[in-house]
Amino acid sequence: MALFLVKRAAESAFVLILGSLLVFTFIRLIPGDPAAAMYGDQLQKLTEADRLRISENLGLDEPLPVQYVHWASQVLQGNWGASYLTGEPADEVIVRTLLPTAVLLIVSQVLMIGLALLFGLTSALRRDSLYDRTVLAVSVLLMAIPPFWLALMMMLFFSIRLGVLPSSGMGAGPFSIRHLILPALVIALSHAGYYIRLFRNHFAASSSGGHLLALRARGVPYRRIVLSHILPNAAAPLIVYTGASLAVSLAGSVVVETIFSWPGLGRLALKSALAHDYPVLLAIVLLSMAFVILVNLLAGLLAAWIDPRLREADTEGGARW
Amino acid sequence: MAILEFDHLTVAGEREEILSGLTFSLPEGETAVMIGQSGSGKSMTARAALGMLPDGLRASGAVRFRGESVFHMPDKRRRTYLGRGAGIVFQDSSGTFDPIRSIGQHFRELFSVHFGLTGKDADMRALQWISRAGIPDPARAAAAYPHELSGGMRQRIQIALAASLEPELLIADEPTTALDLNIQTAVLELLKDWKKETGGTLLLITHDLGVAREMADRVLVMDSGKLAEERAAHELFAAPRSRAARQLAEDWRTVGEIPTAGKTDTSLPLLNVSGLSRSYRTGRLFKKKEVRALDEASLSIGSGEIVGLIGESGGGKSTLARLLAGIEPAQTGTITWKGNGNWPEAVQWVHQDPASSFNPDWTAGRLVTEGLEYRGVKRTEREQVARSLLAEVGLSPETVLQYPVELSGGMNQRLALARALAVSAELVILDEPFASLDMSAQARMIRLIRSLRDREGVAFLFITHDIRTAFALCDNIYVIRQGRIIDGGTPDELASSAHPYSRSLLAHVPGRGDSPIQL
Amino acid sequence: MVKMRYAIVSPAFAGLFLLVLFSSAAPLLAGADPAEVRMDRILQPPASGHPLGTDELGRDIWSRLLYGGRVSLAVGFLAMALSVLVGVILGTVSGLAGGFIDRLIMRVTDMMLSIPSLLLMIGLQAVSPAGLLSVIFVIGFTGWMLIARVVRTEIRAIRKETYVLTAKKLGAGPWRRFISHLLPRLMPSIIVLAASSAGHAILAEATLSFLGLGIPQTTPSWGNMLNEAQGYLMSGAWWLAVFPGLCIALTIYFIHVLGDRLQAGPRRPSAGKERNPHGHTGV
Repeated sequence: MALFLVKRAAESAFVLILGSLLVFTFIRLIPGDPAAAMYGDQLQKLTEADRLRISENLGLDEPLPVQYVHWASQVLQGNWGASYLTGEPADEVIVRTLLPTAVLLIVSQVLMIGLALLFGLTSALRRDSLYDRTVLAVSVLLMAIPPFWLALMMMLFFSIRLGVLPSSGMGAGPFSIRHLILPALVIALSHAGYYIRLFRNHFAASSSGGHLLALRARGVPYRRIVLSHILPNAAAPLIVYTGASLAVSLAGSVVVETIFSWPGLGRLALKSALAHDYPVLLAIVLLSMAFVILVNLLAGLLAAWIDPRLREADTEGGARW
Repeated sequence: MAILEFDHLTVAGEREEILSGLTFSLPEGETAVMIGQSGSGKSMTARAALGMLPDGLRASGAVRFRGESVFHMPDKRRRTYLGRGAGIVFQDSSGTFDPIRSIGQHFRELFSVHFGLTGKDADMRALQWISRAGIPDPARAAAAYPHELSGGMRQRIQIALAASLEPELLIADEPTTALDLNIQTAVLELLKDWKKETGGTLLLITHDLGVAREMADRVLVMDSGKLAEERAAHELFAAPRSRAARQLAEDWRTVGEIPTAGKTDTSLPLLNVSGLSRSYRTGRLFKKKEVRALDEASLSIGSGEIVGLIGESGGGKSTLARLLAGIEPAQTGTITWKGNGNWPEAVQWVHQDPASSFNPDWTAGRLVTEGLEYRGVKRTEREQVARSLLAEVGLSPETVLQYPVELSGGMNQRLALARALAVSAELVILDEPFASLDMSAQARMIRLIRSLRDREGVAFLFITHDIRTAFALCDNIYVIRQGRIIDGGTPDELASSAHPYSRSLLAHVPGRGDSPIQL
Repeated sequence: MVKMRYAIVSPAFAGLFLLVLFSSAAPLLAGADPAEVRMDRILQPPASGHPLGTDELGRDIWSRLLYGGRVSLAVGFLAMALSVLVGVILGTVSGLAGGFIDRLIMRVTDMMLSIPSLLLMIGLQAVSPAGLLSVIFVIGFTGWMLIARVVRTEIRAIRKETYVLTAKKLGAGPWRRFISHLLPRLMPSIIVLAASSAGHAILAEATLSFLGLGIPQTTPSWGNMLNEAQGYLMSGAWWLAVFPGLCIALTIYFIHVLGDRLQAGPRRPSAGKERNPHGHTGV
């Protein structure tokens, strides 16, 4: 297990480095002066000496690999440049959005997994029944509805027609459940279809193994078979998928936060993109990538802890084709 | 008094009856063995005895345990019946364990469900049962996960699991199939011990007449879902009456008999192997280990000769097969083919699971001439060749249009043989060809292999853990252990070998030493 | 191939076919010029003459839907083709090469997957020139990862199959084995993946356009129509948002159902694991 842990962590670190290379390439692709890209309009206000210092700091005359190392060390120290829009350091702009996004993500994620567990398990246990087929059909429908359209329709119905729920903002105070309902529901529902199907298929697979017949033949009660064999057997892959669903929900938050004017990271990302505020946009990309990699790593380790077979290293070499 | 009673039980699927009017009863304390070819309804009988028929089947008649119908037990009563009343041991030991639970957890769960026993007491009792199953290090086995144990160990633990609930009746469904002979013996011993200690009733299901002879007080012969014959063991083996029983006895003889006329010694050397070695690196990043799978193996095969290679699983048989087939390179040693260095496609390989060696999307007709297709032989010509080859291995011409999944294990085995013949193989490596065949299919294959050798002069290397079939088939036998070839000779020579390992292998043939079965 | 026939004879296929047919025949069916601005009939609810109403510039929604469908479906299809091409090539190389190349490709795949797809698209769009081609490229380039993964996994499983080893032994060369044994086994998965990728691409185009980062606003597309509709929702002009959204949802729904049929085939209950638990990236 320890070795497995080290291996997975090393893999994740490598993926992170690859990702930072991609982001670095972005910076080089941005039209114009990279110094301007990092400091924006502020650059105009700086003295010549400052500009030289920045240019030197950025190492723009150095070869690319050296520039990358410079840039990476700046990033690691938290120097992510200043927002073109406000002139504030990018990290400060971002930090303000973290709490709203965290609240939205946690609530919607819990909602989504809850739906997937409930409907996935119940329909897997009643495979090919009318109930099962209905659940599957509704899930496909949910998968087909574009999240932003769902958001518009919910807003149209609940905020405009019925006027029962607010259509934008976070409300006063730290939390307002009424403000949270619509955005969280949209994120959860728009991804629930896929996860209900996924959970259902995994539960169906784990409820048809030969060992279940053996357990029944040894007189183990059905409830116990479901709770301590079918569920845990499906748990490992589902944890991995749930980890991966975070990237999906983060992406979903861009649309939903924008529509519902939720002051979170996703809305900031879109605002920055539309305004070509590269420092902020790239910082968001880098940050969310690091976060997703971390969560996936944790999910992978948790799954391996549950299912011993996953710890086994993939050692096969395979002959040449 | 009868402990288990089948009363005109008929089980039918959509199209046909799987069991037809099955009637018999098991007296308490007896060992009854149910024999029959695969598909004769043996496993369905076991499931019926537990009241656990697969969904979608219709059943009429009754199965009674101590007079109580097992199909009509209330849920609660059924849960005590399953496990405490009747215990079961399945054939497939890997599929009957929850892969993410340790062996100890399997025991603890049963103790908690059936005896309300938890904590230290349950652990203690689990360890006792694991050690009674003859597992050397019970504590380690208890902590292990099912996939970390060998098939033989898992099978012994499966028996211990069933026995630990102290059932009155134990049903064992093909518990020894696909196990090495010495492990088969251990498993049978374990069942005998259980019987001796508890005085319980044992219903053993098998296709192996040797196992039946060794265990049975009484024999039930199944034939296409019907009970063909039911008699005391000594009577049945002395004079089988029903057609099914006689057929089984004849097949058993074919598989077990040593051919009288050996191969003439005019054969030319075909393949010479000397000093062949191969190691594998296994293990994890920091503790890589070299395992010597094959250690200085030498052997020779003459044209038209049937050579056996016997030994336990993990002994290096398959490694040698892969090297000879050219699928893997050897590290040291030489393989000489008809005197010169390379041996191309004249050596073909019939896999132990032949269905897996067929592209599932191809028809049998195309598969037979697969090698010719690669050589660019025209389609019309291939179709002709396919028909004659299928006929040669005893498959009907209609098979041409069938897919491997539609064919039985024995038929697939024949198809693989025919495919090797199509490319004019001079040596065919048969890798455990009988592992998944019942005794009757084995007997038919043995006859086919012999006739192919006689008619076509094809040589065979027959790799098996089954000493009995090796004796029946081979001109020459090598014994391999831990990567080394340690003994060899003709069947007669080997039968009187002084080598302790060869002797111990021979000692484990079930039913050996009993008087011959009459026809 | 039985599955293909089974999938084609289905309501979902018929629905999809109709959607494509209507969009292709837009000039015949539209009845009005989709770009014709008529300030005298702005924001009219559905009525005869304008069966689906008019938008804020008085343009006919029905006509815009038909013409928009052409753009949305074409972008979706081309982006899917790009994703499938990249995914299949990378997956095949990764699966067949093994070793270092395999690991590198898989880590790049992981990396691409760990950036939330919409952020990746937004980032790419922000640095690429506006236009139809760049939208296709960005969507195609961000949708190949799961295809590559599944293709690689399948190839690694197939290449270890005994029948592939046996074919080698019977004299089949590498190309022969690739054509005869690998590709035919891979095709069903590729078709299923292509279907789900097309759905994904159509959704992505709509989302990007909706956010104002997609196809230039002058070109009608379903996403663009929704973008415009957003501003008039509060005033109760529901028809602006409902119809284009329905078109997108229906298209994707049909594609999903079709993909399921391609995967399951006739008369096989949907028991067991999905053969390719291909994730979704969702936008």
